[in-house]
Amino acid sequence: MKAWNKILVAALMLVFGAAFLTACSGGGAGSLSESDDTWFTYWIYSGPGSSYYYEYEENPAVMYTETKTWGPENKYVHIDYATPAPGSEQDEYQRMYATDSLTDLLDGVATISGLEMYTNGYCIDLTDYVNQYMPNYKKMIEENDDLKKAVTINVDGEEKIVSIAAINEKPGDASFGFIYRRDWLVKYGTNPETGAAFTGGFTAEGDPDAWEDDVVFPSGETEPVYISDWEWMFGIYEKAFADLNITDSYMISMYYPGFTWSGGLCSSFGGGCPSWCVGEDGKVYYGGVTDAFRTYLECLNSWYEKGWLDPAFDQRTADAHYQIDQTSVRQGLVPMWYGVQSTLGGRMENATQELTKGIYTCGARMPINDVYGPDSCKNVIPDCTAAGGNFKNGAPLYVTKKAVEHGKDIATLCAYLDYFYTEEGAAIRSVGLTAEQAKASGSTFYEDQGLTNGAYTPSSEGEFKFKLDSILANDSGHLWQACKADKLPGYGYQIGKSIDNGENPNLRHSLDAWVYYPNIGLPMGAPGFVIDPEDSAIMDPIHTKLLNYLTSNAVNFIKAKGVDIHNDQDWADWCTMLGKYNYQKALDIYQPYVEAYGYRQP
Amino acid sequence: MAKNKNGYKAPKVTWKRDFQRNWVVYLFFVPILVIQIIFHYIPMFGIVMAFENFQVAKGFFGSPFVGLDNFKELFFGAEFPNAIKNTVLIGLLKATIGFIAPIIFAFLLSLLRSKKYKRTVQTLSYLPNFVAAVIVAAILREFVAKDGPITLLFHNIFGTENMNLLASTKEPVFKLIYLFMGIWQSIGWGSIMYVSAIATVSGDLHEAAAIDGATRLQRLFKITLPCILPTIVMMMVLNVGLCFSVGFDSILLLYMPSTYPVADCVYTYTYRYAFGGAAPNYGLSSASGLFQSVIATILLVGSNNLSRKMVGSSLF
Repeated sequence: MKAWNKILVAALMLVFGAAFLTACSGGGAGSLSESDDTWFTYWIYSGPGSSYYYEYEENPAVMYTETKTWGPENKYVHIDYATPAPGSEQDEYQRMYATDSLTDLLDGVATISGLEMYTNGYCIDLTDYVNQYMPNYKKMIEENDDLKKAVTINVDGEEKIVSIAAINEKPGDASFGFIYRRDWLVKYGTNPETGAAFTGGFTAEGDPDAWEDDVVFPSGETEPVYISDWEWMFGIYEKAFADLNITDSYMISMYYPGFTWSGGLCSSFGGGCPSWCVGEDGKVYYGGVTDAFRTYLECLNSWYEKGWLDPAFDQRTADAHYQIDQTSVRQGLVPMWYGVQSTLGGRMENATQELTKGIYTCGARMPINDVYGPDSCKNVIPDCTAAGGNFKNGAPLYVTKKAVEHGKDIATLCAYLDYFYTEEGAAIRSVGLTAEQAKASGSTFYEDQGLTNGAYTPSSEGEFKFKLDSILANDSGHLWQACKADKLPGYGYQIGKSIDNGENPNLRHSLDAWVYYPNIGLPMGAPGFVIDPEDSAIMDPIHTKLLNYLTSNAVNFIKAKGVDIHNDQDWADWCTMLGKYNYQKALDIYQPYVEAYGYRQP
Repeated sequence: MAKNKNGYKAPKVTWKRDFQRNWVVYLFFVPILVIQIIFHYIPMFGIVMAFENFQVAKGFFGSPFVGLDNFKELFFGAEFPNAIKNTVLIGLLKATIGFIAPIIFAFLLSLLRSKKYKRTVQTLSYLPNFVAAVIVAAILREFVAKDGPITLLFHNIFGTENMNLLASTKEPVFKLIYLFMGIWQSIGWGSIMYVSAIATVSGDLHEAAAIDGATRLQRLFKITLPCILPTIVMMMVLNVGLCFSVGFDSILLLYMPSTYPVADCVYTYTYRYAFGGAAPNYGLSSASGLFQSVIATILLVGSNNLSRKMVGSSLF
């Protein structure tokens, strides 16, 4: 080999080696932070999205807060936001632990519990800092028991605040829920008492929510409340099918296992869900073997036999539980489904789909069973809603041991974060900037987006404090999110409470219907409700096995394949089989946690 | 000391001397060695998770040691025998029909006279290999849905039931769908080795055989096949080692609870039990991974020895 060839190869190897070692070095989220004690790194679970900017540091609301000084020494605070690539969040999170490369601040969305974080030495005790530098946050904790449970841990009888969590003025809206087609009720239905035809329709052109009608359900309500109301609707939809010559559709589909383990419709038949639930007496029970769950399966079996339930629901395994058989739904073939906000009102109308012409849909509450099963399963309020919790607080932020190791000024950081619990800070965090603030931020983002009046103007109409700018109110993307600093913890104003986004009351009614019944029967996911890892290691495999059995076999009861839900022996066999997975052991472990947390105490 | 056929002794070359002479070659090997060590050997330490109740926060050294509990949980699961049965059956189908298909395709390509047409066919056959499994599965779902073209074709010609074929619990419907999906996706890419091997067969042999009156088919079986046999054996040894690593992603995308009895394999079974619950069970998934690696190693070594004994050719 010629000498120059050898030199070239050696050079190549050198470059390769250098590149390799650089790649393996992992960047170093903490390297920047070492230069200044108020320069922090913060790992957030999800970024701003690439529509408006790539780095959260470019968020104008964040930029505004970084123009001010904070804390006893009036220091500027800067945060570098590290965001994992979408899809790699968990890997990235675990890599940080495995390589001991935690950022100074950590988004609690993907983290382990506060107790584990603290006992393993990953996060620090913030109690003294909160007491001294966060008066507004401290007040929030004192006034809100859920927030207190979420951010406080008990170590050897001593209460410690280990995280800083967001709290909203009301629980957020659910992203999805039951939706039913109301225009067909008007067109094909008649008043259950008088027999008179219903009347109604859109009241304003171009507004998908401007609708009025005189529909009354058998329960006497103007919206479906009971299972009997739902079945009455299905009867009317059958008339619609006949009139429109729809022969290959159904009334409603179901998530492919035939249930949602965290609740939803199965909770409508006496409460609970096929998981660890807490009854009104405060006792934990397993919902998969209850009369309530049997009644639920009985109802679905009845709907299946009547042709109301999607015959192929168990084959739609690729569909998300809130987007089942979208093809048929979008074609206007399905009159009731579990769907998202964008299919409410008249938004589904599509000129190319004849059956969506004049469509108007509404959100439905979870129904209350008044038809099937024993009396104990009738007229019971649903208590496990798959659509979401009923919690006002969000994910916590942890200050990690790395911040201490890097010599960061945590007092100034706490003073900075406390700002977001003040009225002004909360508005910046959850609504956006005023025109003056936007100007002072040094960012041209608001101007570029046409928000010359800021994100909002003050409002005194009713309870509203903020009138959201029409550009943000009408934006269907994530512009509003790009304008406010909601990745930081703080107090949050909400649409429908303090923020007026000009939404039609009909839409608000639909969204409120989805969270009408609070999720009080399922402690899993409640802020601060934590099971010790040792106990989780016992409980989780049991839960997984139970869930796998249910997923494989519940459909057999619904479709009457080899088993009959009305047959006591078949049900006894089902219960026996589930009992073999030793759920009682899990319940025994779970009960003390529920009692200690004070969940649904009678 | 080794002697060659002519009885000459090969001169002894020390490692040091060889390094001095070929240091550039050794230098080339360094990155490969580093990559192998970092990405393939050091991670092997992760096997320890199979014997632990692994918790991310506690790491390898802090997580409690549980001995063989994860293996017990894996092997004594009610659905494990079914998963093993399906894995073996699908593996056998892959090792037979799935293995032969690219060879036949390569033979067919070698018989084509038009080079332009051959290249076009080859290129088109490679394309599915670059399509993600999730897209292939989505396309397949449409094709075998209740009103899908394949379903209707079978229904109209053979009178089969008009239903979503992927929902069929009859043997071997799911397995065949999975097999042919795999063949469609990889037949072109899998044939590259054979096409290359066929290209190295001496044209003189074909010419002589043709002069002696051998037909194209005879030449194929009497000349081409024996010439590429070592390549086929090498590929077979590799395939047997991997045949039970049944495509996790494809099956996961295609199966449904009602078809678990005919479709569930060890990978999907493990996935459901390790990652289908509230918290991931890394110990169980590691135990399953280790179990499958051991099986694959045994099969690889076994098939290698078998091929050495039977056809005198082996991979190592």
